[in-house]
Amino acid sequence: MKLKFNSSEPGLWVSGATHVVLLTAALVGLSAVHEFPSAEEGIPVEVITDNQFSQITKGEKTAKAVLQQPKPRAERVADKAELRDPGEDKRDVPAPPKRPEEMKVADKEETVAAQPPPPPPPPKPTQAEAEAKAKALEEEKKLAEAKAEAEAIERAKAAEKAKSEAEAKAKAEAEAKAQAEAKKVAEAKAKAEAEAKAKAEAEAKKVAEAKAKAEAEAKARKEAQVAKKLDMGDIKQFLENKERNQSTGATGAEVQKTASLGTATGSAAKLNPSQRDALMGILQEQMKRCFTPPISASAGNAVAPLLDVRLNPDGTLAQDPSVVQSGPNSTDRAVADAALRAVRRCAPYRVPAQYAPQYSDWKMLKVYFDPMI
Amino acid sequence: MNPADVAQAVPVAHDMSLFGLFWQAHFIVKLVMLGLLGASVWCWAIIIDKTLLYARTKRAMNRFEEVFWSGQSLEELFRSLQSRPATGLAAVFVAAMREWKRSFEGSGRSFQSLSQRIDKVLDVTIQREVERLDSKLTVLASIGSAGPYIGLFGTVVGIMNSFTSIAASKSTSLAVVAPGIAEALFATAIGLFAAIPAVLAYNKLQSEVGKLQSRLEGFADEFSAILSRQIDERIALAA
Repeated sequence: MKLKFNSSEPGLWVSGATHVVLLTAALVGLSAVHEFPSAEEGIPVEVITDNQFSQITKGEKTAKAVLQQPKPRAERVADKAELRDPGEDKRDVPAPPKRPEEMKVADKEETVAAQPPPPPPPPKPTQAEAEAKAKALEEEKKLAEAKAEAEAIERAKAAEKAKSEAEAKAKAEAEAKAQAEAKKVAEAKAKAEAEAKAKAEAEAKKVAEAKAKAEAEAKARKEAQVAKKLDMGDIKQFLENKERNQSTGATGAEVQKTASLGTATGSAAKLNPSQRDALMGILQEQMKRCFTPPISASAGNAVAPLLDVRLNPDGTLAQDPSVVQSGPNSTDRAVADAALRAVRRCAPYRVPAQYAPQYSDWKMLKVYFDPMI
Repeated sequence: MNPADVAQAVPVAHDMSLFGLFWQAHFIVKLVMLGLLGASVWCWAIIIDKTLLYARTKRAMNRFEEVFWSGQSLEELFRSLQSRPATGLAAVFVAAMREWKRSFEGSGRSFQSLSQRIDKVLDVTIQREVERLDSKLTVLASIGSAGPYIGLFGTVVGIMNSFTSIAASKSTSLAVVAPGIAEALFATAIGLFAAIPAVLAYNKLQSEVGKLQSRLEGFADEFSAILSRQIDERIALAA
């Protein structure tokens, strides 16, 4: 193709020139790429394990300041942990009014007005406390009885001694008087004998009084116990006791609404495996103490439930323990429930101070409860 | 990875201007783009040339017909046209007249098949003229039909390339994917840019050629009728 301008066929030149001009215009005019309004890119999401989650200390970006001791978030204080066996009432019903102390009981013959009223029982004695108290009371009673007996014996001895002394005296006097005054012998003897007799009688009366007092005390105690018993006449009160459910929310041992900005160290301290085993042993041993496996689990084929236990740094429960995994049948569920109760009942747990720095590693525990152990 | 880090890492300098798009493209895509640009230049050159040629031819035909039907002597007209190369109607006229003259100027008078010979000459001349008008239009047709495919080829290669680089950089962010795809699509854009005018112009020019051809044929038939009447008159005189 000869590139010479031909006026009758100017097409190539015209076309080439036009293209060059168009391209130049495009390069100049279109090179400024106008950008879209910038949109927020998607936030990358990372999936973390619950172990990592338990060790998060980075806090929230919107928080105001770094707290000295970051605590898990809690909107309100948790309700009291439920510590009752199945079948029992979920909460305490108000106690029925007590019988007045002066009121006569059917199997009592005497009033014991002089007795001091028995100390009122504490509002909610735990079983151990009640037992201890009963024991203490019994011991006291025994002691009092023993004391009374010893006193009575002593008094009797003293009476005998006095009697013998008086007799000796009387003899001596009688002898002396017989020597001095034969006339008054009979009188003096009679008098001495009467005196001794009166003394002995007074002593015996005292002993009887002490005995009566001890008996009266025992009676009064018994009466108080009877008065404390459930009165079926007050069952109306139980029936009228209807309470509503409370609202829920994130719960914790204490209210914590301020988030922390994070801590100086990015990640929490970790337990090493041997420390972890030791701590788990300590905690499980404490939990097992309260664990009473249901009788149906004694067959030996129950599945050990896996519990999720959250702890506070002081060893109290950060939140109600929950069953992560348990067997399918009712026995397994009963075992799981018993394990939950055991965990609640044994709180707070004693955690050795050496594990305090690694709190974030043991604040969330997974515990297996083997019913056969 | 921190979102802030990601946001800082993404803006790798991608020149999104036309030249930038071209320069960053793969070698094959560059070739395709250059080829399509050349095709565009060529097809526009053909379009301009042909449009001018047809306009010129039409004007010449009008002028010739005016002269032809003005009652001027055919001999004179032939003499005036004989000197320079004629196109269009003039070429048809000159070819027929030359054959006519050759039949009479020779010693032997061959009237018998003169009419047939003139028809043949007319046909051949019309064919030659139409061929001249028609030339290079096939280029337009080719560009029109193949341009999009060539552009698509460039796009496919470019997208293949950009996907392999996505796989290599292990990031599917739109900011990473977009430049490669824009580059690749640029090839199709150029293909369409070349092909669309080519197709439109091909259809238009083809119909123009058809019109001119029918006009040539019409004139040839009329002129052939005139000449055959003359021949018959001459034969009657001679006999």
